[in-house]
Amino acid sequence: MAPKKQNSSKSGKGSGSKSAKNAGRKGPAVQVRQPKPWGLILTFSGVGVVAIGLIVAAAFVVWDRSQAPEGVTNFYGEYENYSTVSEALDDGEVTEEDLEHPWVVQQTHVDSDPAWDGTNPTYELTPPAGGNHLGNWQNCEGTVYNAPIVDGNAVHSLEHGAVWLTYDPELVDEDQAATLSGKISGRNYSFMSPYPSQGVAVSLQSWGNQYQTDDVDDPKIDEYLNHYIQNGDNLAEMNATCGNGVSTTTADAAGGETEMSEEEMTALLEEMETADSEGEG
Amino acid sequence: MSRLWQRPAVLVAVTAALMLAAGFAVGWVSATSTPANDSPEAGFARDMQTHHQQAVDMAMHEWKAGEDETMRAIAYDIVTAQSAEIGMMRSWLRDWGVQLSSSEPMAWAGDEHVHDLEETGGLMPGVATAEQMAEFRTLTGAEADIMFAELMIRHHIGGIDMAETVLDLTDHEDVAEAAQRMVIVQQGEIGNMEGHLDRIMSDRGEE
Repeated sequence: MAPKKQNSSKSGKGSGSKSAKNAGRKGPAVQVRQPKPWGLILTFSGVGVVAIGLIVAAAFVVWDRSQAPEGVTNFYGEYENYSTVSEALDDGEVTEEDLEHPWVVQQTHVDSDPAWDGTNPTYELTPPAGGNHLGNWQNCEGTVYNAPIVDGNAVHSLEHGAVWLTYDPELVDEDQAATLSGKISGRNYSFMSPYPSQGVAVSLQSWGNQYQTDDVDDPKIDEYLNHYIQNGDNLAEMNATCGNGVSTTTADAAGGETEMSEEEMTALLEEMETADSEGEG
Repeated sequence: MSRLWQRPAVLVAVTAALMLAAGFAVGWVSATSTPANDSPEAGFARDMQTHHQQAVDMAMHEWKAGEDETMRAIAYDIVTAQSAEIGMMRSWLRDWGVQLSSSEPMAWAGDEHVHDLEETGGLMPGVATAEQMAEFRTLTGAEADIMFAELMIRHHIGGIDMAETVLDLTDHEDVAEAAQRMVIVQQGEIGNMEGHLDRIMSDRGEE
């Protein structure tokens, strides 16, 4: 039925004899080769390119949002962050001993052990970026300390989601220290202290992560603070506070004092205020 | 390849699938983005959790050292309620994938607020100075009750200012609702604390 119809339409205008000539031909022979439908090709290709572009752009935007600054040393190994490693531990995929740096999941108060001999915990890293610590945390409400502080208290603040900026007083002069304290002073969940002989001008610590630089104007310092302060995947105790901790320095600790009197606290606060205003000036 | 153009159904199906995927991608971004890092919503949530933190610190000392039972009850209320709100605001920030902390507090609230912040040496509206906090921590009994009420009334006035500022700038449902609640609750508490402060002062006057 179909070929007959086709024939009749193709030869509609022709004479009867032509029609008779063509009557024996099969369908394919009379098919006209159609030109490429460029309009259609362009339209569909365009839509396809736009669609693929949107997909790639969306993937990038979502990926980019969660990126940490480059150059940070991460001690969670293949697990990347605290959330992932604690999930793997919980699921029994890995044991604490098998971790490259087991201290990223060690959160015991060493002074809770009745057999504790009063010695402070020691750490793999200098300055430390996590591990077992003392029961009291260091005040970290944008607090600038002008003397070295006790590692075990500072590490407890890292557990609470704070970033600890340390500087080597031999490599950082007063003006540079003022630049650094300008970044920390008053910024909740951050604190700063000198760390003699750390061997690098500036070191930034948060739980399981560290970044070190010899340039006090390194823009990565701000990026680190922006990314790691209270970062939910890189802290070990969610929503814990930076207030009501201790303001003990290593000198206080060596003097056998574990708690300060109110007067000493007031004096220290005033001292810190003075340091802050110097920093801003 | 050219055969593809002779099969419009396949072509339409492939294109439709791509467009659908693109639609999902766009939806994915918009569903997971909401307030941006420099939005008033994110700025408000970041600054208000810091602001609340000082209220919690103040109220903790009043709960420990104050003597007036009603004032201590107000302090207890503030510690528990504002701590819960701090958690809520941090959850927002984490859900939005933005920074939990910023080097430019109050920048979201406009130049006037930034100027005020600079005038006070970096203090947000109503925030007590380190000296005031240190002095308050030395007080006990009725003296603590009085200074607590004075500091907290000022703190609440500042908090209401911040909440009203974000209300002018946002139509985000959760943020607007929470800010509105903060305004109502803190206004009520100011009235209560003023009343109790008058009572405590006049009791002392009569002694």
